[in-house]
Amino acid sequence: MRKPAHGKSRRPVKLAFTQQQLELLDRLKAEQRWGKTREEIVLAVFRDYVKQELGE
Amino acid sequence: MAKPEAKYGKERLKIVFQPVEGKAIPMKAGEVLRITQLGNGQCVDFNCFNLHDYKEMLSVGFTRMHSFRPKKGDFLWSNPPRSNPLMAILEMPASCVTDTLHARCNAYLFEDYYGFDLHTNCQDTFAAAVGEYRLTPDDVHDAFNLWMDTGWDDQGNTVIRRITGRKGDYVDMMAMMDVLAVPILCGSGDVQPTAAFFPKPIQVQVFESSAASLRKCKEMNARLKLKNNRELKDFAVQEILATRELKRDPKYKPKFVNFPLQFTELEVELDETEYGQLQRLRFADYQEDEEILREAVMRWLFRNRTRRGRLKASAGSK
Repeated sequence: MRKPAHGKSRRPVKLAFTQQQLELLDRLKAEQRWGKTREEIVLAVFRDYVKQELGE
Repeated sequence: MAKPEAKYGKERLKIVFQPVEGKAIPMKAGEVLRITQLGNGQCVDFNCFNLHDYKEMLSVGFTRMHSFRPKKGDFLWSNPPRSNPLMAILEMPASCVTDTLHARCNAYLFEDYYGFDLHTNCQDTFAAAVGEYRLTPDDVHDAFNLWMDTGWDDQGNTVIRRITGRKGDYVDMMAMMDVLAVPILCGSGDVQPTAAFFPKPIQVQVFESSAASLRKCKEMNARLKLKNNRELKDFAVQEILATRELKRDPKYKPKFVNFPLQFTELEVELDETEYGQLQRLRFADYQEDEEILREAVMRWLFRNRTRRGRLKASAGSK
């Protein structure tokens, strides 16, 4: 998991998921590369999506 | 040396359909329907029912969700919630463009377009064919159309292009369950490009199943079977109405799936760089940060963790 950059300001984002969406996110726990908690998984997936979409 | 295994069994039916006729043909699982062009291009419309429960029938809408132009290797699907493969397309030449857009022509259209009192049309031909099994004109459904090249223009208007079929072209479709297969000649061919403005006969054959076709049928059914192929026993309402007038059942309570939906809130923290990226991803101008982030996550899941998403991504990258 990528560590947050020290000293940089952080932006909290609250977001809701349905139980069906969470079922899909929870499946990623078993893959053991996206994180252990749902919050970690959301961040890791977001970062991968940015990489795929923006190439960053 | 061992004799090579027969792909299909022996021919058990061979009919030439003259313009504009068709026939409802019962087929057992594993049997193969072959439709052959006897001239240079004749559109063939196709309906299909579960032979043992006519309420399960071809769903062009569900078939279209799999492929806009079903081709060799694709399936014709039944109406959800049954969602079963009815026919497997085993052979289809590139010159057989297929259509899931144009439903079926009918007498109303030809009166509207040309002022005909009565013109040959697929709705009435299907109705005449399925009447042999006491099905009504209302049981005729949108057709899977073979040798019919359709599309739409920039204004959203549908178009029919000139037929591409050639003499000798043939399509083989295998029954994936016991079905009533209904191939018919399209009735529009003398006034539309669906038969290049001159209707032609077609040949229809049925081949019995062989050990190989039955094995293939069984393997494909096993591969495609999911928990959500619903059967009659799964239905909240099972009886078919015997009256035409609709009346409310005051005791009926609908059971909606996963209702009410549960919503769980999570909180994540983005650094400045990530927050900037989130803003650049914005999918619609009304979106709050929460909506952008959720949509990005769900788009990723579709693209990377579904078969359909991966296919779409690989097609897009070509």
